[in-house]
Amino acid sequence: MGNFVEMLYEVMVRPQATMRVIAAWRPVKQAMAVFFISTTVTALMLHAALSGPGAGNLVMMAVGIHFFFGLITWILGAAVFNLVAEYFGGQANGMGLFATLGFTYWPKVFMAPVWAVAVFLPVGLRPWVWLTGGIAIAAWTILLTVIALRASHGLSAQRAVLTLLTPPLVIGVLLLLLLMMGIAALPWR
Amino acid sequence: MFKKMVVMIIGAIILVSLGIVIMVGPGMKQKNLTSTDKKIAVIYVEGVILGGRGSSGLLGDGGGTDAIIKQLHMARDDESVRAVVLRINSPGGSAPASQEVGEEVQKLRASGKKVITSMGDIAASGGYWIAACSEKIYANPATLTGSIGVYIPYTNWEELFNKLGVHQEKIKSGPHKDILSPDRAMTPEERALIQEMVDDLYQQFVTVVAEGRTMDEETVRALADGRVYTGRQARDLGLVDEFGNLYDAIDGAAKMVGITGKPEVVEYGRNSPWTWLFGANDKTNLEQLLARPLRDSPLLLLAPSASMPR
Repeated sequence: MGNFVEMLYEVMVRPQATMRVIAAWRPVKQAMAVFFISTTVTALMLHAALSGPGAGNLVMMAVGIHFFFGLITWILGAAVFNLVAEYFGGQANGMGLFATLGFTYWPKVFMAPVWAVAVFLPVGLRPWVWLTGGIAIAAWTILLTVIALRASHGLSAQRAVLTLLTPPLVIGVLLLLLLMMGIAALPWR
Repeated sequence: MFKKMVVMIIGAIILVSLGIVIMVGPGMKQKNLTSTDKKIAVIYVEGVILGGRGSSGLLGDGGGTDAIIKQLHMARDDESVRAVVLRINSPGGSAPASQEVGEEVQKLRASGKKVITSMGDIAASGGYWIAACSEKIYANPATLTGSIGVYIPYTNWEELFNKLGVHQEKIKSGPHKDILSPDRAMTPEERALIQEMVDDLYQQFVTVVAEGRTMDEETVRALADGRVYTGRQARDLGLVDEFGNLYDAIDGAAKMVGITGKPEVVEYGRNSPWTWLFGANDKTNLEQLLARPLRDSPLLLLAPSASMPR
């Protein structure tokens, strides 16, 4: 388990047991390596997809935004999930969650083979392949995140799912309130 | 050992996949690995034709002819592009800007690629200048085109300035340095100079149309009194070749270069959601341009380059 490469294998094959070990061991450097590899792969695909006539600086900007927001999401996500998990009765383990969440980026690298397969297919089929592959990888990532929350905070599956859903729900409600306040502030004639 | 092997194989698959994705490269959505030599490029010429980079957005520039010329270069350099369709929807613009795009179109043709024009709502004046440089012109019967001619706008605000008590003093290096200045009337000598310029530009326009449409200059001059023609009138007069929309023009281009089956269309200069959010608009709106304050308007201030083929 001490080996980084073996850890990647275990995350794919035995995620629950591996995430528990990661949560306890907190290998932050390895988690950063996973984040960096996965974000580089997806950034290169983004670059290939957006490059084209007239794209110009846009591509580099998009790649930069991808890296920046990926990192911010990881750091803030760990902080917010740790807070929410504690609220739902989990034990505090911010660094353990940070490390486990880093490993949840691993499935994203599989978008590369999905895209590579898609380019050999007829143009009309490609969006469907991308969509199917994207949904499968997103589902895998969400599952790993739930496992990471359970492993790092000792939560039940239900509470882990609740922890995962709470931040987007709160943000959604806040946005809705802001929207309603904005509408209410409109001058009616 | 087994675990390492599995991860290594996955790593190799990802690297090869990345290689494929990067190799297939720009604009994956438009690429088809099985038919890369059957491409027709569509380049959009929209709005008022002005030189330079146009307006600047967060992520790029748009609205100037630099972007159009860049796209023409890209089409010329792309070996898989067999023909180019210019989709023109423009009321005209500045003579030099139209001329430089027209010359690029001619260079593209000289490189062995066919260039076909598809006119949208309007392809007049500078828009027609560019169209005349192409091999074949498609228009809708109701398209507005023609307007072959040149004018240099000039407004004399002298009386108004006098009423307001505004008197501008100038220290000039030469008698004509403030030619077309709005605070005084033009002298007969200046009028003759400007007329000479307009005549010269008009002659250049007529020559482009005559050569592009293989018509004699006298016939072009008879048509080129500045009036606008409908697509139907223009076809009867030989200024347009066929009726049809953009897709008819694409099909026509495909036939012209011997592409059998459905050609692959590559669109250059079309606004993407990214450009919409962060970039500059590719089009320049004539009304917005004319509504700008006088001091901001390059058309009015930079008089020598204000020659508008309209």
